[in-house]
Amino acid sequence: MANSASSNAPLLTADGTPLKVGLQRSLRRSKLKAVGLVFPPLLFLIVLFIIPIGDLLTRSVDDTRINYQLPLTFALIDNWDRKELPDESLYKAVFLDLSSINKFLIKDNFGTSVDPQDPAWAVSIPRKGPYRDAILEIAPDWRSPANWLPLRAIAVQASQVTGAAIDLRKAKIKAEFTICKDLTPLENASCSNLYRELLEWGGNSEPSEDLFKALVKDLSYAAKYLIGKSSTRMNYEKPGFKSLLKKSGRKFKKIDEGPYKEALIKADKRWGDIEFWSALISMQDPQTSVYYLNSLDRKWDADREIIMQPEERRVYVMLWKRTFWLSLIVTLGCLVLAYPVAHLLATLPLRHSNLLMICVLMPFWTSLLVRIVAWMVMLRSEGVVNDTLVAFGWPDESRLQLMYNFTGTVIVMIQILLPFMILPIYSVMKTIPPSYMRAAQNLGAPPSLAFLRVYMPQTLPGVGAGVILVFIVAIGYYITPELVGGKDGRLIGNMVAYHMQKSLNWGLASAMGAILLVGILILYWIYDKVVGIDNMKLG
Amino acid sequence: MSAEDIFVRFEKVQKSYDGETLVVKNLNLDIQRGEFVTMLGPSGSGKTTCLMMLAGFEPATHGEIFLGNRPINAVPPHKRGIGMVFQNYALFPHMTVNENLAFPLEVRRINKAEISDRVKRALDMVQLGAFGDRRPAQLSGGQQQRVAVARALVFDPDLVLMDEPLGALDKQLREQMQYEIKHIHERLGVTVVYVTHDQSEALTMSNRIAVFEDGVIQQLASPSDLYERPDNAFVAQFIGENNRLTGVVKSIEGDQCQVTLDSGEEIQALKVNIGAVGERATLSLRPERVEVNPEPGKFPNAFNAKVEELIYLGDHIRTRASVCGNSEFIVKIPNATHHASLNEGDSVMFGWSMEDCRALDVPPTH
Repeated sequence: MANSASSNAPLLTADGTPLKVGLQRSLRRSKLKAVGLVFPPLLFLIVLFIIPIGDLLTRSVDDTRINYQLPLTFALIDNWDRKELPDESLYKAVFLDLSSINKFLIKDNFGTSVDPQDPAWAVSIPRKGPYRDAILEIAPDWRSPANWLPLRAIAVQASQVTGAAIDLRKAKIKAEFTICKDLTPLENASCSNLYRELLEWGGNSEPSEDLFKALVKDLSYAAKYLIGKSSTRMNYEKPGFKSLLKKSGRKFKKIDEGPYKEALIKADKRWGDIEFWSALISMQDPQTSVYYLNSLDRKWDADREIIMQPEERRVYVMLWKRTFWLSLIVTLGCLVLAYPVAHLLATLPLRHSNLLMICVLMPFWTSLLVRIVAWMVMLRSEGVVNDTLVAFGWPDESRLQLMYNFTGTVIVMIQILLPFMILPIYSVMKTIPPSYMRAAQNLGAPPSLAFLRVYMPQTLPGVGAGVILVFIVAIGYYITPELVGGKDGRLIGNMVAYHMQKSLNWGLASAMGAILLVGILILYWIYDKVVGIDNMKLG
Repeated sequence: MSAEDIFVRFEKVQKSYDGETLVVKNLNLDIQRGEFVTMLGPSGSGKTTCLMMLAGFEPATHGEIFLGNRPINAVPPHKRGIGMVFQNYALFPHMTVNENLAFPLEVRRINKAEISDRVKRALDMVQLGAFGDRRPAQLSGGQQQRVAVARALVFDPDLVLMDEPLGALDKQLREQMQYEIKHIHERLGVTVVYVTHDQSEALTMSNRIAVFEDGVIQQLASPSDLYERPDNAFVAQFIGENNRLTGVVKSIEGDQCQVTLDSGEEIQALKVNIGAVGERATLSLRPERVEVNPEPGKFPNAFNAKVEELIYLGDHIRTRASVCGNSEFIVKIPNATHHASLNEGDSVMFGWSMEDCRALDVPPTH
C-alpha cells in the first residue's frame, strides 16, 4: 500500500514540503508574538535584577583597587619570609607606592605584570619642578605630542559644547573625570589642571613644561584620592591602617632618601609592627574572599589560614543566627495565626468571609510606616498594652518591655507578614470541597483525625508557599527592625543597609547580600526537593 | 414487613435550614435489611437532605432516625458505620487508590496484613486490581467511580448511601455502572439507599422507589407499581411519559368514575385518588396504552383525533395529536408491520380502556 511504503520517509504536506518545515512555518508567527510579549518583562528583569545582582556579586569579591595602590609592594611581598620584619627593599616599595605618582606613569603596572627591577620606580620627581625630565625618565612616551593628543581631544570636545551655562559646566567636569580615568584606574578623580593646560596647548607644538606640571599636579591629587580609598579598605583588614596611612602621608614628605626602613619606623612606629605587614598579604589577590570571611566574623592570618576575628570584633555570626531564628519564629507565628484565619475565610458564608477578607487586607493596604508607628503606640512602656495590663492590676513598676528589643521585632513582623501567609493558604483551602472531610468522617475517622489525615495534607501546597514567602521576606527584613528593633532586634538586613549607607563598605554589604541570596536559593532548593515547586500555590 | 426486618426507619423527621421553611416535611420511611431503596425526585425536593441526615452530616430538626432499632440522632457520623459514595466521589487526592481504600480500615485499627488483603479484595470486586498505586487524578471518571464504591464497601458496612454517584458519567458508562452496582448489591446483600434525579436509573436498580417532591414522599412503591399505578398526578407525570387531561368528576361507581373534560367529552376512568363528585381531577394515560383506530365498541373511551406531528424513533413512532382539546397528546405507535402509517393532518380515532386511564388529584400549581 502507498501509505505503508511511505511510513519511513519523512511526512510531507499536501504540496510536498516536509511536514516539519510546514509546521514550523505555521508556528513562526505565534512564536514571534510570544517572544515580543516576553521581551519587555525580560528586559525589565535584566535591567533591574540580573545586572544589579551581578554587580553585587562582583563587588563582593572585587579587591583590585588595593592592587593599584601597592603594585610594587605586592610584587615584592612574596619574597618576605613573614617571620620577622621585612627588609629594606619592601620598606622602599611601600614608601614609593604610597608617596610617589610613578605607579600611574609606569606603563602596564596595573594588574599582575609589575616589574620591580624597572629603574623608573626609583626616579623621584622634584617637588618644585622641573617636572619634564623626571617624567620623561619614567615614561619616555610623554615626549611625543601623540601621547597627549587623545587627552586633548577629550578636553576639546567638552569645550565645544554649546548651550546653557550649566550644560557647559557639566561637560567640563565630565571631561576632567574622563581624562583622569584615561590616566589612572580611578573613576572619581578630577584632572582639572590638565583640562585647562591641554586646551591652552594648541596641540601642534612640543608639550611644554606647563603640561607636565599639570600632569604631576593632577596625578598627585589622584594619588591622594586613591590613598583615601585604599586606606579604608586596609583598615577593614587591620584597624589602625587608616590613621597610619594618614600620618605617613604627612611624614613621608620629609623623607628624601634611604635607608627607608629606619626612616619609616621613625615616621610611625607601627611600620615596625609585623601585624600591619601581615595584613598586607591578605589584600594581595585582586579577587578576595575577605568580605565573605568578614561577614562570618572570620579573616586570614599571615599564613593564609582562616581564623576567627578577635572577640571584640565578632558580631555577624550572632546576627546571622539571630536573623535566622527571628525569621523562623516569625514564620511559625504567622503559620499558627494564619491557618485558622484562612480556614475561616475559606469556609464561612460569603457575606462573613468578605468582611473577614477586608480585615485581612486592610492592613496590607496601609502604609508600612503607619502600621509600625501604630505598633509603637501599642507596645511602648506607656502604651496601650502596658496601660491595659496595669489597669487590670499588673504591677506598675514592672511594665513589660515590648519594644526596642527582639520581642517587639517579632510581634510587629508577624503582624506585617501575616497576609503573605494567609492568602496562599486561603487560596488552597478554597479549592478543597467540604465533601472530603465528610467522606473521611463517614469512613470512620473522628473529626480531628479526618482533619490531620485528609484536610491538612491537602493544604500543604499553600502552607509551603506561605512559609517560603514569609521566611524569605523576613530574612531580609530591614525597616521594622530598624524602627522597633532597638539594640538586640537588629538583623543582618540592617547591617547591609549600614554598610551601604554609613560605613560605605560596599564589598561587605555585597557579600552579606550574596550570602542571603545563596541561603534563600538553598531553602528554595530544599523546598523543591521536599514539597515540589509545582505544588506551590501562591494564589 | 415485620418489625425486626426493618433496618432504617425515619420517624416523623422534619428538617429546616433557616427556621422558616421545611425542606423535609414529616418523613416516615421504613427500609428493610438488604433492600435497595432509591430516593427519586427533582432537585430541591429534599432527597439529598434525607441522605445527609442519615449519614449524620445534617441534624434532624425534629423526629428520630433509627438504624437497626437504635436511635442515631446523637451518634456522630464517624460512629455510624455507614458507607457512602459521594456525588463527586470525594476520593482523597493526596492518597493512592490503595491508601484511599485502606483509610477506613486504618482508622478502625485493623492489622496491616488484613488491611492489604481486604483492599485487594475490594479492588478486585470492582475490577481495578491493577490500579492500586495510582492517584485518583490518574484514573478515568468511571474508574474513580468504582474506587468510590469499593471504598464505601471495604469496611463491610451494613448500609451504603449513594448520592447521585453516576451523575458525572456519560450515558453508556452510566448504564454499565448501574448494572454493576445492582449486581454488587445482590451479591453482598447490603442495604443501599440511593439518591438520584434520573428516573431510568431508579427504575433499573431499585427494589423500591420513594418519589420526593416538596419535602414529602409522594409515593413509595416498586418500580413497576410506580409506573403502572401512580398514586397521584405528580408521580404519574414524573415517572415515564404521561398524557394529562383535566376535568370535573361527574359520578363515582365503585372503583370507576366518570369525568367531564373541560372540552366537554365524558371519559370512563379508574378511580384512584379523587375528591367527591363535582371536584376537579386529572386523568393520566400512558402513551403506549392508546390504540389507533380501534374496532368500534372495543373501548369505552374513543375520540376523534387530528395528527399534528410525527417523530420517527426507530422502534416506535411518536405521534403528537389533538384530542379532547389537548394538543400535546402523545401516542407511541409500535413500528410493526400491520400498523397503518399515519400522515400529519390525518383524522383518526384514538381509544383506550377504562383501567388504563387513572383519575388522580390536581397537582398544586407552582
